[in-house]
Amino acid sequence: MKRKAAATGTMALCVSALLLLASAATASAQDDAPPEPEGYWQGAMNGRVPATISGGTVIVTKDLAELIATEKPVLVDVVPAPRRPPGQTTGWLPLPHHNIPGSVWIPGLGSGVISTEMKDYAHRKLEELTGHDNTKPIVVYCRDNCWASWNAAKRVIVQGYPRVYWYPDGIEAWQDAGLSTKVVTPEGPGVE
Amino acid sequence: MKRLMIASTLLALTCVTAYAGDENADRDARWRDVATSIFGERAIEDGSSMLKLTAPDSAMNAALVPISVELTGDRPVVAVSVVIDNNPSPLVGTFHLGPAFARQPLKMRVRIDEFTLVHAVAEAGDGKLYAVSRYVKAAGGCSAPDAVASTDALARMGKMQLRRERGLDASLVPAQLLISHPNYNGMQQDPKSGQYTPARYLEKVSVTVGGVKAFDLESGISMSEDPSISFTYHAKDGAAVEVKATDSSSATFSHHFDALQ
Repeated sequence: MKRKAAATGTMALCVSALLLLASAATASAQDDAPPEPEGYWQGAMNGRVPATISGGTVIVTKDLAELIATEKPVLVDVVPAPRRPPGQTTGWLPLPHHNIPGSVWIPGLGSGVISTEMKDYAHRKLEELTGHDNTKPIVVYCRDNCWASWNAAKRVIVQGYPRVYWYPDGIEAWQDAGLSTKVVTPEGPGVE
Repeated sequence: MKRLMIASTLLALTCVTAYAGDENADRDARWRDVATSIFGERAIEDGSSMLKLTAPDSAMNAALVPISVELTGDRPVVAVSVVIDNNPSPLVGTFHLGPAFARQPLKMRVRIDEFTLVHAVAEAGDGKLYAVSRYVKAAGGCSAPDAVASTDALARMGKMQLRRERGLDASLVPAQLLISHPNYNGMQQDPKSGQYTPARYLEKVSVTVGGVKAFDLESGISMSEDPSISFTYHAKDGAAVEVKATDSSSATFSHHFDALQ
């Protein structure tokens, strides 16, 4: 218990130091980013992502931490969920999924193509989470170098939300900055 | 700004040391769970005197991460397993080694779903287990669509190549076995339809040289598509290499490679 209390103070200091470093490193890493595709990305979900998203705002860890502290945005995590193959024999032990506390985890929302069911679900869910206030900020993320969050953020922009934030560095950058995470279960039609 | 950067770098470095303790505890706990699910309650000792594991620190293509395991020292080893701790199905595979397997690097390509420890585990001749690990920063390998269009992948499923090198010592042959197989893990979506491609993956691969076992591999969905296994075998005059493979749909594939002349 004592250790935990001492750790929290150091933690805050560490977070600011790491965030400062992270923000300095981001600018140069985007030089060779691919351009935004027309429509939704249909290729492999993991790989280099664009530096921009038209109609939305790209944010880094520091911005996100500030946004959460000041405006309590809706947080949407679209990391694909593991699916166990039937009859699979070499063992199955999915790691509990950690994300940014307060996030809703909707696997499958970032796929190249989504079902009507998924489209309707996301529509209803966002209305519910924003309390029908479409000026509320919405943050979309998945993993580092993951197109799913780009696609999903674009879907939310297309749906008509004016304040959509895309956090491309994803849960890995959040964890690397020493920020806290929480174990969640997935929801939506993408869940088996 | 520069001074600030240096200060924050120093502070950040201090933090990494301070927090490494908790992070390592999490990784250790996960490894214990994973190890128990694969090896039961058997004790696993430090394997640094028996095994060398090589893996990249980070990989852009998380669906094809190269891993190499080399047996060092001279204790007999009967099996080698490769484990990706944080994958939903952590065990890549277990190679049951035979007399035709030479103690040279054993290489394969694996899928990595999120930043993880990778373990190589050796089972010694006396049944004891020894492990070494490395941390790899790669993510998204399990849901990555296959690189080859599925119609092509099915058409060439089961085709094999065995690339062999002629070394100075004719009795030791370094070889790379390539098996065309999409190794669908059930988590990949068809980019056009959005449908999940049903799982279908190699479960067993056996390699013999002149009738002598090199290895029997039991593998799963953490092995990359188009499995590539590099190993070295003890050759005998005129001895052919036989490869037999079975997938999860019970399809069998076999290939006979003539001896190197």
